Amino acid sequence: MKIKRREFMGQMMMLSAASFLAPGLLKFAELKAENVLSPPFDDDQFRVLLSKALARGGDFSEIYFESVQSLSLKLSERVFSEATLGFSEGTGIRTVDGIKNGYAYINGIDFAGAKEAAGTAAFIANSPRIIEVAEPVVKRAPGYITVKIPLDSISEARKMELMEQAEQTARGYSPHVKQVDITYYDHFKKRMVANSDGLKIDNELPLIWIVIEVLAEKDGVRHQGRSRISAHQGFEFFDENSMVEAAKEAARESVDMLAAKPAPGGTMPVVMECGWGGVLMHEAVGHGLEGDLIHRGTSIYADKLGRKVASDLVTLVDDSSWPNARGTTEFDDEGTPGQRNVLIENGVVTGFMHDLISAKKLNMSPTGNGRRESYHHYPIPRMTNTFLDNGKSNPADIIADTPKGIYIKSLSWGSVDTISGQFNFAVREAYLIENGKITDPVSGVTLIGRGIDVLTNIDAVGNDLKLGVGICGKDQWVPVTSGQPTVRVTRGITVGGRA
Amino acid sequence: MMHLDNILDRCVSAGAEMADVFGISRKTLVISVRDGQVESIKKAGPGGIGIRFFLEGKMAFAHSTDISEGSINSMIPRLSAMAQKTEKDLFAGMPGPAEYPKDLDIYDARQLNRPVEDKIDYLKRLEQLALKFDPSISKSNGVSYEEIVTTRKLANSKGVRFSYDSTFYRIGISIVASKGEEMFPGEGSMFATLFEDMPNPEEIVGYYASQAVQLVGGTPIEPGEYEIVFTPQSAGSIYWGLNFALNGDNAHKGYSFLADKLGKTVAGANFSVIDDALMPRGISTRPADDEGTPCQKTILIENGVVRNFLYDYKTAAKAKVSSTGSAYREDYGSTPGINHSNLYIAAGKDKLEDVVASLKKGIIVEQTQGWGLHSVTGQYSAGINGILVINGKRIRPVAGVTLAASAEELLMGIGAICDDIKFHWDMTSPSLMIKRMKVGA
Repeated sequence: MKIKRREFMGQMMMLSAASFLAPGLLKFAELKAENVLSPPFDDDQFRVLLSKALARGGDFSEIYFESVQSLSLKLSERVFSEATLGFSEGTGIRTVDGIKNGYAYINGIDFAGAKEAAGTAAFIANSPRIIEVAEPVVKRAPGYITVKIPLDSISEARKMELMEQAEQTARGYSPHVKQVDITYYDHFKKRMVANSDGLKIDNELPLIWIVIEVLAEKDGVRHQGRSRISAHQGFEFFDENSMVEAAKEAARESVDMLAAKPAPGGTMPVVMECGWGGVLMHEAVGHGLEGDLIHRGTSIYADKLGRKVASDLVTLVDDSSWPNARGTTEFDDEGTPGQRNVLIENGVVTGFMHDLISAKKLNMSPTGNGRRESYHHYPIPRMTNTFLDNGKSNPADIIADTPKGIYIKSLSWGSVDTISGQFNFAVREAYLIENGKITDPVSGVTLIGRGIDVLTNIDAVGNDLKLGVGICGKDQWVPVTSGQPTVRVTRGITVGGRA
Repeated sequence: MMHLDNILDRCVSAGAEMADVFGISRKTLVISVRDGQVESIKKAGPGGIGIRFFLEGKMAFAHSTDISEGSINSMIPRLSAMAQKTEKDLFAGMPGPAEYPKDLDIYDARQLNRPVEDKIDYLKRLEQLALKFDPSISKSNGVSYEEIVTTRKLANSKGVRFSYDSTFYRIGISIVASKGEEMFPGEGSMFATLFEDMPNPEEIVGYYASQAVQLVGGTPIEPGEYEIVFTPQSAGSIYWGLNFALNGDNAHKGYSFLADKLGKTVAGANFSVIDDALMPRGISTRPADDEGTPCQKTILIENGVVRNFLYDYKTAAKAKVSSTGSAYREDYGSTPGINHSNLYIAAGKDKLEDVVASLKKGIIVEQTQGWGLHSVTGQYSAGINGILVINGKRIRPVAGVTLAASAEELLMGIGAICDDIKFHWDMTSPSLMIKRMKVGA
């Protein structure tokens, strides 16, 4: 049986919205046909809320509305143990005064509640100048995210079939595979942003997120392999991305790493495989280029615009317009369209990532990086799809040219302290490089270093750029990709091993 | 808005042989101040419900922020249809009614009722104190205040009904010490259930600002073996891993280096780990877990021997033991999983200064980065910031080095355990001394 999730949720929304949407219902239906979000409030109501939020002054006010319908399926210990349908909907109202944020949010789209929230948001401001709310001009989303087969047009049974194939593949990979956990998650998110400058924009974002974890065990030695695939896309995503292949990869990692020895400790050349290894750039450099840290002076890159901070081989890009990628936004959560921003070009800092506040404070243009986890948060500068751009080297040559070092095939996660510039990575899968060849696996290591040291010591960049998918936390979580080609860092990274 | 009982009745009428309805509603206020100015105020009252619906042992779950009758009416038939698609879970179950502990003292209305202006003033004073702590403190990166009032409610088809309120307060601080071009942060948060248990501003500032002042300008040291002292904060790199390894679900599935160690010695005889959900006024103190099992105090590691794991109802059934009342839902939209409550490494009798004085060649580790103790492999690997100690004297700050050990080297190598435990966090530890760990640089 096919469950029309969107219809189920749609009904719920209609019911909760009916009381004050009644005059707009016809419009709702028309817009719905165009696949555009129904406005939660009419124009007068928007104006009332936006004005109320500016009652004590402030530079602008903003209404963010969001509605998310999600499906999650869990396959664990060979059993489809859980199926989850989720619905959340809410409205956030923000008043911005200089760099100050007043924010309040409510569940649902209740006008009376929203008015109270607007009053709460207004509390932050204290300026004699009261801004007039501009007439709204509706903007269109740029169209970086396309859907051929809507996720809700595919039955849960089909999704479960893909999971089952993946599970069997992982179990069949080796007798050492002991556990396979697969989570399928998809959602459909509607967003609308309206602000007192007259901006009004909305769209719908689908998201697919699959996490496969495999435990292998042999003679008391354990390793947990993981692979993840994700995109803002329709079900056609699976034409080019296979859950079975992802499962095979997680199983391979878990089994190969059973032979791992303790890693060596100390400073040595590090070669990082293309893809999610891009977390290196995300942590080592990316966070330090976020506009809020720049205007507060809490990043070592705050005074580095136009200055050379990296080797000539380093060109770092944040691109929220990459078609269908997990970090793509269409427009950010303040309504600024997504775009490609070059942050470092041939080693020179050329730009930062801004939201509206940091752009204004630094007298620069917004870059479309104002993001939020949900209506529970106000936006702050965040990365989207952040990657080190392609170089010219052949990846195989980079390894062959490395007499001794460590090869990082995958990372679990990393973090950075932007004040001291210290970063660290928790490595999942790593190997020794001996005489230009990848040899023994080594386990469980942490890598540490300082961003600026890594940047200046990148001496080879491959031509095999790939994005890896993940989640980034900075008080709130957002979907991102991090990417890079194969890269070698000669000095500046210390390996935390005990051999 | 529908009452939980009525929603439960609808589930049963729709054919559920077992169901529970869990609701969370919160009232939150977050204020941040930087450079004497209020930088943000955020206020909200989020909430929602989650329904677990069982049909012939098969489970579907739905959650929503909308608990109007219309919303629930359209949700239940979908739940029933969805439950037919999942598979029978032989261990699924729910607890029945029970007597819950009372008077846990987890609600502080007085602080809630204070005006916002007072809370702002508190933060401004805190920031001033931090900036004046030492000449090397160059900058504030903001201080913050958070209050959350949570109401948790549960109704299940076995007859469990509960509802309780609790408060949570957090004070966060982030300040920067400078030395030449070098900057180093002192940052973190302290929690309290009753605001009067929050350390006073001087103590909070002293704890975090002194880290920044001591650690700024750190450099690497000679690689090799060192005696290591973990402070209550850096010991987090040990108890975080232990928490995951002692989770009954991870242990049952094998995602834990302690999976087959029940009854076996894994640590020194002075080492015990306890999870106590009934600690009066504790950060994670609660009468019942999020499935309705009464909470308890559980000894997990006793004098170095693994005695128990943390269990929810289902995992306990698989392991043929009793639930430890550790079912936890992150929010209304999560199905129950296993989580710790107030988890801590038991305090010893040693004085930190005596332990430091006894070090020949050691490091007081103040901050760690990276894995720490890996809950699956049991290996310890981290980047650290700390203070080099030679012959009992603090010499200089250390940075840019890593620390590594096997689980055995770490846990069997525990020497002194200090008496300086503080319950300002939901997981905590006293200072611990490890006889020998490998430093890489």
